[in-house]
Amino acid sequence: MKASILIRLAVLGTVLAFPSLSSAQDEAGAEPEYSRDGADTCLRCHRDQETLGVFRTPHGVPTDERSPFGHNQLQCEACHGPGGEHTGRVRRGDPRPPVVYFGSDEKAAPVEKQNAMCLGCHESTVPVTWHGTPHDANEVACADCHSSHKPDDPVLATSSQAQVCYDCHRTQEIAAKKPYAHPLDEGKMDCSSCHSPHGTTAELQMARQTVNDTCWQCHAETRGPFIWEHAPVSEDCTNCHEPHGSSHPGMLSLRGPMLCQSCHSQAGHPSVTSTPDGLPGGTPSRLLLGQNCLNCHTQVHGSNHPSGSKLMR
Amino acid sequence: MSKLSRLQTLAPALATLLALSVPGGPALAAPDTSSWECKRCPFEKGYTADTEVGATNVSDDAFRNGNFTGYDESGVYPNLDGQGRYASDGYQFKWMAEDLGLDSRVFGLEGGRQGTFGFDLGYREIPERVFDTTVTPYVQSGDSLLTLPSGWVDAFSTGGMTALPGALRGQNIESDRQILTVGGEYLPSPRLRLFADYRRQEQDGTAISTGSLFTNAVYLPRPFDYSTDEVDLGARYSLGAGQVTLAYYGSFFQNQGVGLTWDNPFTGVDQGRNGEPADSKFQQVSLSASYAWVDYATTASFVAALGRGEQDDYLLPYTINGSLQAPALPTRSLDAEVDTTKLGLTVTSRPLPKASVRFAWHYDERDNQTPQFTWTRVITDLFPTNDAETNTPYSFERSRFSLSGDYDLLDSLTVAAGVERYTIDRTFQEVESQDEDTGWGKLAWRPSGWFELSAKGGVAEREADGYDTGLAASFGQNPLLRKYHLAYRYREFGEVTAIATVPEKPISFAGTAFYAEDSYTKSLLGLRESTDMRIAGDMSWSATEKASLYLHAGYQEIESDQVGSEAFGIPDWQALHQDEFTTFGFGMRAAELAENVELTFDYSRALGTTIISVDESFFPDLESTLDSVRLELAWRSSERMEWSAEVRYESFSTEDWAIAGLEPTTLPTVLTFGADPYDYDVLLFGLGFRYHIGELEIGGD
Repeated sequence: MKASILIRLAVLGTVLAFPSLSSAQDEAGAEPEYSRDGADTCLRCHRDQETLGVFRTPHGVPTDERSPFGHNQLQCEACHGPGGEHTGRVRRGDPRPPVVYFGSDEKAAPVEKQNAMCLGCHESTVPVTWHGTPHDANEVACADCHSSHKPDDPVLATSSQAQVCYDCHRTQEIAAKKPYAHPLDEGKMDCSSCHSPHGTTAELQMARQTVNDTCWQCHAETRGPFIWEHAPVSEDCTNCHEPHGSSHPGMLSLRGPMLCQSCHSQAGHPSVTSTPDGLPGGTPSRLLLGQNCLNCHTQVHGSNHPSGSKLMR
Repeated sequence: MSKLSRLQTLAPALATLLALSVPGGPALAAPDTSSWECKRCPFEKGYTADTEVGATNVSDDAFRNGNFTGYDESGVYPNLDGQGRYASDGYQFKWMAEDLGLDSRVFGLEGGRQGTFGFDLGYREIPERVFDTTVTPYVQSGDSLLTLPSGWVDAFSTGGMTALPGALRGQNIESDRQILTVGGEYLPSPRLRLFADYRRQEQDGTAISTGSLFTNAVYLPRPFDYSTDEVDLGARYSLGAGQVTLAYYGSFFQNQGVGLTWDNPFTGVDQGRNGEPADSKFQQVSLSASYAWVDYATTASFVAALGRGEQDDYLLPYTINGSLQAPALPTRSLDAEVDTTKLGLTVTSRPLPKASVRFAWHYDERDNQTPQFTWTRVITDLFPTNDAETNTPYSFERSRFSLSGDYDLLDSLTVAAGVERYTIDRTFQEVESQDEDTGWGKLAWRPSGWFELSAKGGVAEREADGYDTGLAASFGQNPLLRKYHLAYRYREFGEVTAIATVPEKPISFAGTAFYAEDSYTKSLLGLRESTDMRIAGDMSWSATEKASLYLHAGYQEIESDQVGSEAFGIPDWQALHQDEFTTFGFGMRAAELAENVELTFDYSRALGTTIISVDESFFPDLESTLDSVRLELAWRSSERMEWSAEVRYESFSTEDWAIAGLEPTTLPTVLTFGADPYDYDVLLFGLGFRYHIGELEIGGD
C-alpha cells in the first residue's frame, strides 16, 4: 500500500514538475476520470496480440506491487493516463477522446507528457541524471527506444540494440560499417556496453566515469599504470582511436606513420618524409610499410619493461 | 593535487547532499481501484519456448568473414538457437541461446521474482579473426618463448636468411574472447535495491608484436592469455523524489606472461625480450545522489567517485643478454598507483512552462602517485647506456562547466543556446594548462506532426597557456611542433537534421548532415587543419500492414593536413590525408508473401577510399569494398512449426599498400609476416526448423 502511494506521489510530482502538463486539467476545471473497470474496460476493444504482449513484460506482472498491474495499481491507465473519457460514450461521428499515446507519429502525446508518465514510476530506476542528457534535451521519448508492449524489447537485446540506436544516430551507423569497427553490426556488442543512454554524470554518457575507464572494461591490458607511459593514452584513448569505426587498422583515426608524425618530430627517422617511393617496387621503407612506426615501437600503450622508455620493449 | 583543491571540488557534493533533506511534494488523491479485477488480463503462466535447429554451409574459406561471426572456414556449421520463458506465481525464468554451433555462441538465463529478487547468468564468445595469410619462422613454446627452428642461419639482412623459406609456416593472427556474467538484485523493500554483478573476460590467441634490435626488427606472433574480472556492487535507496546510490567497482586484470623472449634471426645477440602488459587492478567507490524539487520543476544530481589503480608486477631485468654489464634495477616492482577522483553535478530546471535550463559540471582527476626512479636503459638488448632516465608518471586534472537553455518561441519553434568551458591541467607535458570555450545555438522547428527540422551550429576555441619548448626539446622534439591534442585549435561545427512523414501515408524520411572544421593556426609543424563531413539519410515505407521497404545511404569525408620537417627546421613536407566512406543499401520485408510465407531481403554496400599525398606525390588509394546480400524465406507449416531458408552472400576486398607485396624479406631490416590484403567472396546457405512449445497466442488456451 505504501508503495502504491509512493508511486502515485511520484506521478503527481512529475506532473507538477511540468506546469504545461497540468494546464489542460486546470482549463477543464476538473480532474480527469478513470475508466470504470480498469484494464477490463480497455481489453474489451484492445485484444490484439501486440497490445496483449504487455503481459509478457515487467509491466504485466501482478505479483510485483510496483508494476502497473500490481495490486491496487492503475493498470493500463498507469501509463496511458485516465481513460474515463476515452472509454465513455461518444456522440456518433465524433472522435473518441485520446489517452496518452506513445510514439513519435502525429497521434502521439507530446514527448514531455509521454516521458512524464514513464518517469512517474521509473524515476527510481532511471537515474535522475536523465534530466539534462542529450536525449532529454532533444526530446527523445522513452517510446522512441523502448517497446513496452513487446515481450522482448529490442533495445534491451545485444543482438538488436544498435539497430534501434541507429534510427537517430545515423552517422554512427555509417562508422560502424567501416572495415575496422566494434562488432555492433554483427550484434555481438551493444551501444550500452560503452554508453548509458539514460544518463550518467560521466561525459558523453559513458558507461564508466571516463572514456578510458570505459575502454578498459574490455582492454584492460592497456591500462597500466606502467613505468613508461604514453601520455595521450593515459589521457584519452580517442586521441588516436575512432571507437565508432575507422578505415584504418586498429580503428586509428589516421594511417601511420602520419598519425604518429602529428606529434613526433624528433630529428632523424620520426621526421622522415614518407612518400610512395617507399613502397615495394621502389625502395621499401621500414618507416612506412607493415606497421610503420610500430615495426619497432610496438608498446604504444605503455611499457613496463625497465628498458622500455622508447616503447620498444 | 592539493588538499585545498580537493576540498574545493568536494564542496558542491556537500551542498547537494545537504539539499537532499529538502522535503518532497504534496500527495494526490487516487481513484478507487478496488473493483478493478483484471479478469480479461492474460497474465503470463506456464512455459513457452521456440527452438531452432539447422545448419549453414559456407562455400569458401574466408578467414576475415569469421571475424566476430565464427564462419571462417568452408564447411557445414550446425545452428542451434532458441528462447524460452516460464512464469508461475510471480516467479519468472527466461533463457536464450544464439549460434551455439559457432565460435560466436551466446547463452543467457535470467529469473527471479520481480519486485523481490532477480538473477542473471550469461555466456558469450567473440571470435576475432585478423589474418590467416601470415607466415613466420617462429614456433611458440609456451606463453613466453618464441624459438627459431634448428638450422636457422643468421644474417645481417632478411635476404641473407637462407633457412627462412624452408622455415616459414602459417600462423593465424586471431583470438577468442569468452565473457561470463553473473548478476543479481535483491529488493528488501520497494525503496531499497541491492545489486551485485560479476563479469569475467578471458581472451587468448596470437597477436602481432615486433621485436626491435636497434636497426633491425622482427615480427613476432605473440601468444597471449588475458583475464579480467570485474565486480559491481551497490545499493540504491529511493526517497520518492530522490535517490542515493552507493556503489563499488573493481576490475582486476591478469596476464599469464611477464615477458616474451624471442630468438634473434639477425646476426648479433641470441635473444631479445619484450615486456608484457602488467597485471593491474582498479577499484572505485562512488556515491551518487539525485533529487527532484517538484514544486520548482528542478532536478539535481551529483556523483563523487574515488578510485585507485595499482600495478606492482614483477619487473624484468634491463636485458636478457647476460653478457652485457647492466646495473641492478632500482626496484623489483614499480608499486605504481594512480588515484582518480570524479565529481559531477547536474542541475536542470524549467523555470517557465516554455523555458528550461541545464547546468553541468564535471571534474576528473588522475593523480599518478607512482614513484619515480632513475633507470639505466639497455637499448634493445644490445647496448647499455649510462644515461639516467626517470619515469614520468603523468597526472591531469580536468573540468567542464556547461550551461544551456531552450525556449519555446512559438508552439512549433524552439530556440536553444549553450556555453561550455573545459579546462585541463597536466604534469610532465609541454602544455601545463589548457582551456577551451564553446558556444552553440540551435533551432528546432516542428510545424506539424509530420515534419521536424533542427539546426545546430557553434564554435569552440582552445588555448594553451604557452607551449614549453624547453621540455619538448628535452624529448628531442622540433620546437615548432605543436601536438594536436595540446595545440591551439579553433573549431566550427554545424548539424542539420530533418525528419518527415508523408501526411496520411506510411512513408517517412530522415536525414542528417554534420560538418566540423578544426584549424590549428598556431601550429607551424604538426596537424594544421582537419575537417569531418557526414551525410546520412534513410527512407521507410510500410506499403501494407505486412510489407515494408527501406533505403539508407551515408557518406563521410575526413580530411587532414599536416606538415613536418625532415631537416629538423622549418616545414619541408606536407601530407594530405582524405578518408571517404560511402554506404548505401535497401531491403524489404513481406510478412505474407504467400499464405504463411515471409520473405526478407537486405542488400548493403560499403566503399572506403583513403587518398594520401605527400608533397603532391600520391600513394595508391587505400580501398575497401564490402557487398552484403541476405535473403531469408520462412514458411509456417503449422501453428507450431516453421521452416526457413537463408542465403547470404558477402564480398570483401581491400587494397592496402602497407601490406600488399610485403613479403617476409621485402624489407632488408625487418622480418615481416607477409600478410595479404583482404579479398574474399563467400556464400552461406542455411536451412532451419523452428518449433514452438507452449501456448500459441497470448491470452490463448
